[in-house]
Amino acid sequence: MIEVREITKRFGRKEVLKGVSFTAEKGEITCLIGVNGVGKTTVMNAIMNLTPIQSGEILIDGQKINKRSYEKIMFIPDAITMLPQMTIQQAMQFMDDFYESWNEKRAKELLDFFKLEEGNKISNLSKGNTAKINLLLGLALDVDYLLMDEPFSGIDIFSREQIADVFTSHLVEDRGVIITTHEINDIEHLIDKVVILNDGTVVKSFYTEEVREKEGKSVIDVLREVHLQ
Amino acid sequence: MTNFFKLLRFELDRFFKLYIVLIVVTIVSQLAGLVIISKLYMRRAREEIVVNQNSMESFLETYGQFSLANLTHSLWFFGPIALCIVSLLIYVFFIWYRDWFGKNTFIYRLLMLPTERLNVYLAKAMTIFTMVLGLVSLQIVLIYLEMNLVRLLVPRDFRLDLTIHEVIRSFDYFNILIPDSFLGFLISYGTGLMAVFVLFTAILIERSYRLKGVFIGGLYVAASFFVFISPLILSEIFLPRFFYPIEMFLLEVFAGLIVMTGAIWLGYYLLNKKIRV
Amino acid sequence: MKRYWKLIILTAAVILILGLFYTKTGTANDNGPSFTIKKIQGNEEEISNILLDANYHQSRTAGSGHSLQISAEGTKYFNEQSIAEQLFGFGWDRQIERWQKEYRSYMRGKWPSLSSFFENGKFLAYADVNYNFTGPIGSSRDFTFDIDILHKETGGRVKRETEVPNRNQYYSMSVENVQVTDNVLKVFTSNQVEHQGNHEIEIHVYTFDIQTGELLDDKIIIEEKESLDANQWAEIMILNKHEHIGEEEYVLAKVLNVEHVQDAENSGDYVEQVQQLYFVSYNVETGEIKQFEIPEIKPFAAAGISPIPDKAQISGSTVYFAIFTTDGIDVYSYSLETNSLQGSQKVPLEKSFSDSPVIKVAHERIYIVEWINKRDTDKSIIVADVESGEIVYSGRIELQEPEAHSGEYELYIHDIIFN
Repeated sequence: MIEVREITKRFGRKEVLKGVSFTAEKGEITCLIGVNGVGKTTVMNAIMNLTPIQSGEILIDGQKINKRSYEKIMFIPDAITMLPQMTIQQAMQFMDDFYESWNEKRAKELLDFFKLEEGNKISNLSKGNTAKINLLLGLALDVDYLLMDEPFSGIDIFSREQIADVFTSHLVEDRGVIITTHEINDIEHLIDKVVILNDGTVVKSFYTEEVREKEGKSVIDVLREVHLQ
Repeated sequence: MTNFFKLLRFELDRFFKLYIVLIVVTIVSQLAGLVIISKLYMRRAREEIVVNQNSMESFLETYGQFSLANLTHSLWFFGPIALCIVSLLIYVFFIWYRDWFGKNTFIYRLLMLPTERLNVYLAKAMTIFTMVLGLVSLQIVLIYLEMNLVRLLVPRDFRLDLTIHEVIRSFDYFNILIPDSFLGFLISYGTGLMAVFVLFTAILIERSYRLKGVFIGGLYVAASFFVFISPLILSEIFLPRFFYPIEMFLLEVFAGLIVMTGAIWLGYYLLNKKIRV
Repeated sequence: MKRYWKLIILTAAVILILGLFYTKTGTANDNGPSFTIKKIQGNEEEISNILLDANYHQSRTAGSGHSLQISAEGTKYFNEQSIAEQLFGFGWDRQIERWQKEYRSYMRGKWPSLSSFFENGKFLAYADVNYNFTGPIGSSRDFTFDIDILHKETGGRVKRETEVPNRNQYYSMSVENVQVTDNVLKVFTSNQVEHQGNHEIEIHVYTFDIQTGELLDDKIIIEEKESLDANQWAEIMILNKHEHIGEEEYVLAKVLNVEHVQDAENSGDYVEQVQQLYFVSYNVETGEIKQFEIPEIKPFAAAGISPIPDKAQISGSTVYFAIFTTDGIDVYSYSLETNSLQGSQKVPLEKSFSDSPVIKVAHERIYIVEWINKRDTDKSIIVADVESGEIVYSGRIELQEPEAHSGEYELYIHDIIFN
């Protein structure tokens, strides 16, 4: 379980996170929703210790993040994190060099699934294919938790569908996933839990199934309610 | 292989093409330079002696004997050295900033490696250091090559053979790059390594605090410099000539170690607690 | 492992090359060639106690050359000193190095200037004048005596700081000589006085109690006015050698009064003209001061003759003056006791000597050393007896292993030092 407890974050005088708390369980897909600039990426960065927070704490399976945590939790930012001059094969080799949790078989499987060529240079890939490689490099790790920042933004419809397919496959199943998005439409059917961020705080968090079954509302209905308030 | 060596190899690979360019430029410029200026010298000798009917003595009186000092004083020789120094100085900054800027954000990857983040810092420092030493070694080999090449190019009567130390000393400040003794070498490159660590930490301060960090980083560099020269200040202002040379030397070594440890410790702290992607 | 080849090759090359470079190339003999003093004629004993302070330049290689010392035994280069000494050393004087070894804690914080030291069998004494910058340059300073007397037998020290009396009058002070006699320490200083636009140079003798370090007396032994408006100034020089740190019977000063005058013959250029030359002797034991002229030692002399007789050596109560002339060096001996010229001798010199050789008179000998030596310099050292003028030794500075060091060089001699 990833526990985010009362974290605050300031950029200069601007308070971006004013005590954000939520949890994300293994085996569930948790979605952080909010308009652009609300601090979704900052939360992700904070979980990964990629930006300092002013107060609060973040625990991964009860522990603060340390160097060993990166074998257990991986973050896939919205930009590629490999050097553009590398080929796909070199990028995979790099992962293999440093991560014990790198799963070569799964990587090959994903490569086939996305129909990507190992010899291609990252800088030559289309936007959609770059996003797929980015996803591949994270998914091929045998980690318990995956964080994805806007995995669907700015890519073509076919790539989107392909990526969405991954979420329902065995590639994701037992893991805990946190994804951020500002557009819920494409993935509403994929997610288990929604955390709505607004004005630096969590305004509502709920299980999609619960609202659907008990209140008969869609995620978008709930979002609309929150915004109208 | 430990993660440190993996990172070292990786960082080295990233600069290797440019590094090879530096090596080739140095070799070509110095060897071609030697051939060209020795040919010019011999052509002038022929003109003076054969055409103008001057004696060899009067020629040597005016132009002097040809030695490798003629080469070391030319742009052919120190041009590439200056190029290498400037390139590596720029690279001290570039080796960090390249990971933040541009389309890719490789710093995410580096910071999320399942290893001490300090390894990234140390590997980058060692990369710079190894490349510097590589160029210094290349220069030593080149001087030996040039000492032999000059024997083929200039006849004995016109030539002044210098020892390797004379060649090194013939070029100002070259003693700092290639000191006479191993202890001198340790001093030069120990100080150099310390400076690299201080600059790295200053860069990390900027990367952690951004605009404010430029100011803090500047203060940090000034403070490190002050600590490093504090034995000198102490000796010059408060206790003139109180310390004997060997004591001053040990105090300086101690001050250098403090600065270096401070830089690494602060770098470690910033990477783990303050760094931003 | 295959992917590590760049790292492995680079590291291996660095270790191999630097390792070979620092183990195989000896550094000691690579400074430059060795020199020795080679006898041409005479007795080699005569030069066994001298050291030549020199600087070696190889033609065509730039840089400031290399400092070295040459003796009958061979050559020692400055950078054979330890790195610590090269980086943080205060100088290169064997006498001071000897004291630093022997009296390590006593020598701490002492300005390594020989004129501040005195040594005999009983004492090692030091006197210096310190000041802090308190105002603009030229304004008066807070001059303070720093006295430190070491009693060699007991190891006891008398260390005391004392304000210089009337220190507001002086804008510069320097210690010229230090003597110990009869339980007192005498410190000879040259003080520059600024007095309503007029300058004055004074030579003082400050007397301190050797037991307490207390200042007992301040006496002016020479006083010379200078007038910048009238283009007139004075030069006072203590002729006792600063490297002679033992007891002196007399301290002798040469006083010159110089005027800047317009030279009518030579297109009205200003030239320096010596108006007056006299000497002042101070008997260290009795404190007796005598002022006198030596008619034979002239402020000006015929062309080609060195006008300033500062090549002098005081030996007991006799002072020897060496004056360079067209055909050699004239040595005058003068008694400070009777104030009379005792005699004069001519030491003949070959034409090959340049016109400003290094000259020293010591131990009843005059030492003359050519100051610029090249590969083909034939004779460069002459030692003569001051009483008889007889040449007791002549020799040359010889390059060792000339075949290993081709090419021209210049070897400059700055000073002759006596061991």
